[in-house]
Amino acid sequence: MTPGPLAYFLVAAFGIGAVVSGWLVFRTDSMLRAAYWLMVSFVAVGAMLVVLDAQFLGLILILMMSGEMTIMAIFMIMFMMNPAGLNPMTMVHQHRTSIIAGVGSFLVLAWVGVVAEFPNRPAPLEDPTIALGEELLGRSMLVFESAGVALLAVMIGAIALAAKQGRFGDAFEGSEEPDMDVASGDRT
Amino acid sequence: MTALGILVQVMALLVVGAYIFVVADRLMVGTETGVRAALVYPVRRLSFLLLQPVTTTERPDFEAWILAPSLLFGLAAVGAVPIPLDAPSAGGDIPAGLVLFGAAMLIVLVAVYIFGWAPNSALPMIGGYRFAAMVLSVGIPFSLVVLTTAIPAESLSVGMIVEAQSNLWFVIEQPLGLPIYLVTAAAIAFWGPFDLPEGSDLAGGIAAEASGPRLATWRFARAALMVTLALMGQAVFLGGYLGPVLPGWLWTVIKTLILLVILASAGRTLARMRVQRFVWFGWVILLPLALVDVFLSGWIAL
Amino acid sequence: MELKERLAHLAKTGDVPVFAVVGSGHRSPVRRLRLSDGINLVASPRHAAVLLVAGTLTEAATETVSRVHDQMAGPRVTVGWNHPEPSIVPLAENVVGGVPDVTAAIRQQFANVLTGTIPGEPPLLPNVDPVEWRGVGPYGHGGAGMTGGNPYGRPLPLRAPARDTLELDQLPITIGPWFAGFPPGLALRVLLQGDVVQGLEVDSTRFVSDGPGGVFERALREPTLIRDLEMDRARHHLEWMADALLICGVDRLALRADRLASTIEAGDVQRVDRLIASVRRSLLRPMTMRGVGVLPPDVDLTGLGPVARAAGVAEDARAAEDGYDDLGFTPVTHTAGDAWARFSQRAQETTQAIDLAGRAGNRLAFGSGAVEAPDGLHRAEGSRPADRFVAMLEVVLNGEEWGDLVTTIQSFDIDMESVSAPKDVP
Repeated sequence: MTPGPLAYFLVAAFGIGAVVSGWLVFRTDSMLRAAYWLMVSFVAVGAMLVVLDAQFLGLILILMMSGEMTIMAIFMIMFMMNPAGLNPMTMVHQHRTSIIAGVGSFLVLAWVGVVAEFPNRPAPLEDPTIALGEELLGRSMLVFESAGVALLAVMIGAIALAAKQGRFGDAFEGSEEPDMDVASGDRT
Repeated sequence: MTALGILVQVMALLVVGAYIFVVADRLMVGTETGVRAALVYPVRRLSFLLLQPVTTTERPDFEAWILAPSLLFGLAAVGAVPIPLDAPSAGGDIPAGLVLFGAAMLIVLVAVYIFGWAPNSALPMIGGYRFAAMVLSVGIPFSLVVLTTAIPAESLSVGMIVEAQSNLWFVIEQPLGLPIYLVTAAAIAFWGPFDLPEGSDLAGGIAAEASGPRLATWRFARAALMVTLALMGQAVFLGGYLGPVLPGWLWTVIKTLILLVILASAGRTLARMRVQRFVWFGWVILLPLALVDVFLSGWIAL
Repeated sequence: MELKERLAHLAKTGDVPVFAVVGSGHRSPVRRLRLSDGINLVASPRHAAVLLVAGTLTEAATETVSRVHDQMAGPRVTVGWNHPEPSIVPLAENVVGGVPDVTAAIRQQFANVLTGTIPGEPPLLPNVDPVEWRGVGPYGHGGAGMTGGNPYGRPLPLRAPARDTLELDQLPITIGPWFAGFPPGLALRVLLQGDVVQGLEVDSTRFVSDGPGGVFERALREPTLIRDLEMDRARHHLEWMADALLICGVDRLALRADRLASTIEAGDVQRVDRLIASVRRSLLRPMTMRGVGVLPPDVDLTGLGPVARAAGVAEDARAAEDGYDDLGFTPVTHTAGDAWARFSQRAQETTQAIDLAGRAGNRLAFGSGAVEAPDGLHRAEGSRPADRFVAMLEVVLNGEEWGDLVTTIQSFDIDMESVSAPKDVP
C-alpha cells in the first residue's frame, strides 16, 4: 500500500474509532458489550498497524485479541449467569481511584510520546515473513525465548490445575458440587 | 483487480457456493423425493423465512442480535478474500493472507457467542458457551495446520502456498494436515458432528429464538462460512487452481465442491459429539497431532 | 404486495414447519408424522408456522400451550388432532382421523395462512413484562451497588457456594413440558451453571391426560397373540431409536428407523440389522453415549425392563410364559448400564421381537397380572415404570452436563401418560 492522503485518513479514522470504542467500554450496561467494545478498540488498533504496512503485526493483534476478549467475557459472565443482562449493571465503580489512575497514565504516555525520539528505520522491502523470521531468531531471540519459557511454565501450571485427576475427583464423573463442610475456611 | 471487483467476485462465490452446499446437505438427509425437490428447497425455505416476521424476546440485547448474523457473513467474506481462484495474472495477492484468514475464522467465535447471548434466553446462551469451549479447544490445532502449509512455501501468502504445491500437493506432503483441518473447520463452522451450539438437544441452541429473515441470514452466513473453509482447504492442501487440462478456476471449483460434499456427508452420517468428549478430543488428540504435523513438515522443509 | 404473494406462492409448496404438542395416545402417531411428505417437525416454536395440538391434555396445560402458541413467529395457525371438545386453546380446525388426514389439513391450513385466505392467529396471552420495570437512571441500574437492586423486581441469578474460592452464579430455569428433547409432558426446574446441572426438580403437574393404553395394557386383562405383542414392541423400540438418533443429530438414520417402524414385518430381521450396523458406523457409541447416564449402584432396577437388562439384570416377565418358552425365549442383557447399553439393548430386543413374531404362529400370552411392556414391567395393580424413572431423575442427573441430561432422560423411555397423579405437595 502506498502511503498517501488515504493512508493518513485511514490511520486517523481507526485511531478515533479505537478511542471512541474504548470510551464506550465504560458507557454500556452489559458485561458482554463492555468486553466486545474493548475488542473493537483493539481491532481498530490492529487495523491502524495494517494501514501502516505492518500487516502481520496488525492481523496477529486482531487474531489474539478476539480470542482473549471472549475468554475475558466468559470469565466475567461465569460470575454472573445473566443472559443479555436481564438486569443491567453499571460498568464503572471506584471512581476516585480510576480517575487518578486514568489521568496519570494518560499524562505519562503523552509525555513519552512528546519527548521520546522514535527511530527512523523504514521497513525492509523483502518478504515480511523472512523479515519476521530473522527478527525472531536474530536480534530479539533472547526476549522471545524468555517469554516462551515463561509461557510454557504457565501452560504446565494450568494443565496441572485442570488435569483430569483434580482436587474434585475424576473430571469425567460429572461436576457435582463437593461437600463444603471441610474446615478449610471456604466461604459459604 | 480492483477492490470492487474482488468484492463482487467473493459475494458471487459465496452465494452460489452456499446454495450448492444447502442443496447437497438436503440430499444427504434423504427426505426429498428427488434432486429437483432439493434444488428448489433453498428457494422455498427462503421465501417462507422472508414471510415470517422477526420475533423478539423479553429484554434482548437488540443491537448485538442484529449484528451477529451480518458479522458472521462478513467474516466468511473476509476469510475468502485472500484465496486465489485462478493463477494470479498480476499481483493482487495479499502478503499475510493466511493470517487474515486465521484472524477472521477465530472471530467467528465472537459472532456465534453474541448470537447466543443476545436473545436473553437460556438455551441459546448454553449454545454460546458450548461454542466458546469448542473454539478454545480446536483454535490452536486449526491455526497450526493452516500455518504449517506456509513452512515449505516460505510465505504467508496463499498464492505462494498454492504455487509451492506445483510438484506435490500438501495433502500428501503433510498427511496429517487435511484431516485435522477438516475436523477443526467443521467445528469452527459448528457443523456436522460438532454442531453443539445448534444441537437438537438444545432445541436449536443459539438459533432457537431466531425467526424469519434473521434466521435466514444466519443460516446463509453459516453456509457461506463452510464455503470459505472449503475454499481455503483446497487452496492450501489440494493445490488450489493447479491441475492439468482444465482451466485453473474450474479446478478450484471442483476441489471446493469435493470438500463441501465431504463436510456435508460427515455432518449427516456422524452422531454429535458430547461437549466433554470434544474438549478432550481437541486438547489430547488434535493438538499433539497438529504439533507432530508442524515438526514433520519443518523437518521435511529443512 | 405482489412480492409477498409471490413469496407465499413459493413457500406454501415447501415443507411445513410444525411444532407438536403431544397429548395422550399420540406419541406414536406424531412420530409417524415425521415420515409425512412436506411436514417438518421443528424443535423450537419460533421456527414453526403450524401448532399441532394432538390428543388429550389436562387443564393445567392451557397456559403452557398458550405460551408456545405466542412464541410462534407467525403467520401462525393451530390445528387439533383428535383433540377433545372443548379445546384448551382456540383451534382453526380439529382433525379426527389418521396421519394422512392430519397431513392434508396441516398443509391446507399452512397454505391458507400464508396466502392470507385466513388471518394469522392473534396472541392468546397479553404481551407484558412479567414484572414491572422498577429501575431509575439512564442504564436502569438506579440505586446503590453494581446492579442497583432489582430493576425488574427480579433478583440476579442465585449465588452458588464457593468452590476454588470462586462464587459463581446459578441460573434457575424451567424447561418443558413441550421441550422437544424430553418426553411430552415432562417439565423440569433446573439450576444451571454454564451447561452443568447443579440442581434439579421435576414439576409434578400433570400436563398429559391418562393414556388409553395399547396392546400391552390389554394383555394384562386378556390373552393376547404373542405376534401382536412383539410387533408392537418392535415398532415402539424402533420409534424410540428414531427419537434417540434425532437427539444425537443423525437425522438421516432417524428417518430410516421411522420408515422401518412403519413398514416392518414379522421375521424381517435383516433390515433392522442393517440399520444397527449404520448406527454403529455413525460412531454413536464413542461420540455421544458411552459412559452417559449410568445409574448409581444402590438404585433398585427390578421391573425396569430394558434399562434393567442393559445393566445386567436378566429379568423379563416373558421368561415365565409358556408361549415364549415354546419359542426358546431367553432375555438379552448388557452389562455397561449406560445410554449406549440401553440403545444396544433395545436394538437387540427389536431383532428378537421381530424374530419371535415371525415364529409365534397363534401362540398366546396370558399376562396373569404382569406384562413385559417396552418400558418395563406393567402390573395390573400398582404404578408403571415411568413413576420410578421420574423419581430417580433428581439423583441421576445432578452434576451432569445438559447434553448428557437430555441423552439420559431419552434413554429411559419415560411415558408421561402413565405416571400416577401428583402427590400432594406439602
